[in-house]
Amino acid sequence: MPTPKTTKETPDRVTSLLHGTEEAAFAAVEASREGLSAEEAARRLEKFGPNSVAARRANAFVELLRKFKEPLVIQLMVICVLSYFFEDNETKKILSTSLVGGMVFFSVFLSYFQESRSAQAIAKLQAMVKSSCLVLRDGVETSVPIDEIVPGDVVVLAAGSIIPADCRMIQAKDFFLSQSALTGESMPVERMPLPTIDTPHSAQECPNGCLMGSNVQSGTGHALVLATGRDTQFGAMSARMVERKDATAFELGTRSFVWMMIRMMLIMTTLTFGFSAWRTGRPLDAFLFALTVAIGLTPEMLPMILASCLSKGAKSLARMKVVMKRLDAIQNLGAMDIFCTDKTGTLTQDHIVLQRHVDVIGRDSEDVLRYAWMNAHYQTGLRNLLDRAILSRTDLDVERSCRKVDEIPFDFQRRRMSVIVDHEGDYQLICKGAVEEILAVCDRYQIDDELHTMIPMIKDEVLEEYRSLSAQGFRVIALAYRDFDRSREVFTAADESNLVLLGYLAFFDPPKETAATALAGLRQRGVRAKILTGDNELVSRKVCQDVGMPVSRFMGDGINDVLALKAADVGISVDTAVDVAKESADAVLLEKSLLVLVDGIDEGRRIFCNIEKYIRMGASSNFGNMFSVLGAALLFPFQPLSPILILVNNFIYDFSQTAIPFDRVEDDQIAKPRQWNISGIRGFMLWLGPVSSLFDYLTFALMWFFVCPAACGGSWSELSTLAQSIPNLKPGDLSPAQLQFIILFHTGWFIESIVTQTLVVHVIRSAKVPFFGARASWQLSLTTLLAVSFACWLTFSPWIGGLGLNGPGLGTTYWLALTAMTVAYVTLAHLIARPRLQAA
Amino acid sequence: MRKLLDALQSGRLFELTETSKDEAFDFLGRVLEAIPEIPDDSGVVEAMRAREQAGNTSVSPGLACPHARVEGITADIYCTVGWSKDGIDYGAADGQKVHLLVAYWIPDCQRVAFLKEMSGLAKAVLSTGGIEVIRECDTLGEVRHRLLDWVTVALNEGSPDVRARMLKLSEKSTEQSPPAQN
Repeated sequence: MPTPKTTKETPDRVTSLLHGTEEAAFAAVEASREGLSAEEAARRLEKFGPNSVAARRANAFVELLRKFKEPLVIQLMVICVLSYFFEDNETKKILSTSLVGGMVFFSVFLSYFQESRSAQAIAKLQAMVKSSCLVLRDGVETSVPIDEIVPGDVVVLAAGSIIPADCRMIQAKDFFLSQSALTGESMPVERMPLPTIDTPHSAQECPNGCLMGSNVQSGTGHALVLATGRDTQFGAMSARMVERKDATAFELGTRSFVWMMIRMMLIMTTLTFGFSAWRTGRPLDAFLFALTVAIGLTPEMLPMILASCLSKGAKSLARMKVVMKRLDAIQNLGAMDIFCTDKTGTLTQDHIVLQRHVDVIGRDSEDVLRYAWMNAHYQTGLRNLLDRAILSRTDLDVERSCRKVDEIPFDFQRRRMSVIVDHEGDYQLICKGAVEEILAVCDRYQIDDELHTMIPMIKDEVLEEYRSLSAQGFRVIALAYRDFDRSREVFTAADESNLVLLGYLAFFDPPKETAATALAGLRQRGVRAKILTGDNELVSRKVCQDVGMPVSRFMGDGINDVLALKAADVGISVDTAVDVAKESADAVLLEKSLLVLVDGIDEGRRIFCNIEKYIRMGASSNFGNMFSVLGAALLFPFQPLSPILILVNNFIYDFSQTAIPFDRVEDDQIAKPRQWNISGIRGFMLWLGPVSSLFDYLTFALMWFFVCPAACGGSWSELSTLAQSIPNLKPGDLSPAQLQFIILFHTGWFIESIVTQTLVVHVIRSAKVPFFGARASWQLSLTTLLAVSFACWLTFSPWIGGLGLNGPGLGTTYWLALTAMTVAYVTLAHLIARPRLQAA
Repeated sequence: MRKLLDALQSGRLFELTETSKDEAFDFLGRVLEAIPEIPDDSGVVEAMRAREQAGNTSVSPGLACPHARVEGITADIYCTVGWSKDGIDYGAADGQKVHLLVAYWIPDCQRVAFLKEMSGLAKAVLSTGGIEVIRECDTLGEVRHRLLDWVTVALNEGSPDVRARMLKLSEKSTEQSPPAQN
């Protein structure tokens, strides 16, 4: 078969092909009712590309460049340029430029690599839950991944199918579509094959069109694919506008935290500039200082930490056979406090057996089995577990004497379906479905071979059998039939009336052995489980009793899970679910077991805990630094730390945090749902910040009154007086002794600041006693140790001249005092943090 | 309808002077309990009330069939009839008062017979113009005649309505079919 001449199907062309004749549509895509051959389909796939609307990922370089557009990176680069031009000291100039460059590297490259790895991991995992659909290939119904559908394919559709491309109906039976994703309209619309359409319609309104993005609510049909991928209406729409998803609670919380920090930074920077300019009399230096302080107060590692935590979490979850379709939904797993589940296959074994087939008064009936078998055998819609159970019970010889005349497919409004069978000259409609729905359309019932009039009171009587079976834990459906004369050829749902109630089919799906354990596990983790099931209360009650939980309310199952999945904070489906349910879910379980979910919840909580650690750390230390820097700028006639040292400090601090995603989480921290608690963060900030600041002030006092005067031969005021007697020293310039005083002051605070800022992670990571009661992972312990060691080494290194540090000059008093202050700080911070961590 | 005929022939047709549903149940229940074949202390009234709670037993406008089902007893069905000239507020879905209460005592093994009796009664009432013929009666004798007419109609017209013509298919082959799981 040749490739169609049209190389680019546009949405307008789709509309035109829907209006024209069916022959014209087939001709345009050069296909027939039998579909394409496998070879031709492969050729077209090569030509048209995969049937996907996902935006093509920009190349790596462009992606990387985009990172430089981030406000934080721009801020860093501006500071880098300003430092370069305004810094007089050549060594400092090179150092500060390199340091800011290093921070840009951290901010840009690390988050880029983490995000790339996450994207690759997600793509790999999503490939594991690829949706497929039935198409005619070489005239045979074949299951094909949706992204391999090509123009000219004939797709076979049934209730629950996703419409994989823009199609034209060529065959339909009571076919209803939900187009809510395309039009926002929740009511299903009917679609049918039409020779032509005379009145102009949009493609979405064409009664013979079914467009990508919609799904089949009920009925069966065949449709010719006119356009695929980005050539579809849905694809064009996606290309025009970036899909905007509602932000999750976590995203909102993160944004709120970031804005809080930015507001703090702006206030802080302005005040610092003002105070510093006033006290030092050097506005340019003050400006440079304020800019670097702004860097110090910005949580520039947050995107990297988030990307790293979520990526690591997605991989851990995949090992547990949970595939996350949206990375940012991972923490929602941990935040889950109510778990709504269906029953079949989740709480039960999903191994449904037809246990009984009885007449209306509960006697075993072969007629009921025979009719049920014919109904299941001839139906072409969504063949569910009940049909399979019926078919496995017997195998009737229908080929010789029976012929299927028509079918009235299942839908969730009627909750029943029928087949019409021609048997030796008679037409019989055989209908099965929910008991209440079948009874509503029966006016007679059968006992033995006698038909009797059904009156309301008798309905109550015959329902008794149904109630009794349900109370025993059986899932019960009813079976009814009606004779028709042979003049009828086409049947509709209206023909499901005046039926004869034949009996009931009782199915049993035993509870899973693991269900009770898993539900107990959820309870222990503070997650309340609710069953949402289409089954009646009696069956649900029985299953609930078996798995140790109370009965919930009626809701739905199967395809109508979709709305629940969309509405849920995190929608979870299983790999064997209908396509539309899988597509709507945030996570897909490769194993239909709640135990997997329990593990997933733990992992989600671990990830959230680690993200929280960074946020608590950032909030409290930044708030503390704000007090310290502001106070120092006001108190001292020099900047408490040079801009270059602030950058070095920030660089080392950032490095120490890179291991947070790898930290272990204590069991008590994952015992209950973890949700964003901005007031908790604020509490941490308001209590731990001032504590951190208190030790900064103690350090200032130590340096100002003891260490610096002892090393420099006098207090600052004495040195200032002496400076006036130095010849050739211009007014405003500092004497060598004063410079030495400042360098020592900077060194003392630099070390104390690094030590307290980095060690605090061990305090806020758990309510238990740091280092003894709860130990951090080796990765976090190592980065902390390296950060502290590196900071101390730096003060003794050959770079001290360039950086303005003087470790050797600090003296024993300083190191002893630092040790005591660190122990005191960790102790006090632990005492303050513990109740807050316990309450979190 | 043979059980209704038995009741009429055995003189178990009464005029109800009671005006409430509960009192009517008490009376008819006691009449049933008085039948020698029905075991003593079988709780007929309580069973009738329990059934009524599960669903109203009005059959057609003006007619109700309260009944007591019992398990574990092998016996025949028994019936008694109460007539109320003024009608009893029965809480029927149609809101109409009930003039005729046909009360049954049904051992579980007789469910089929009971369902057939009910369908036959409903069919006879519908085909003879409904409850109007009973409403127009002034004496118990007239009621008895009308009820006998119903029985005659039902027995002459026959119940069931029709015989089912079921599709009969055999299994493909006994060896290949899966084993029965019952």
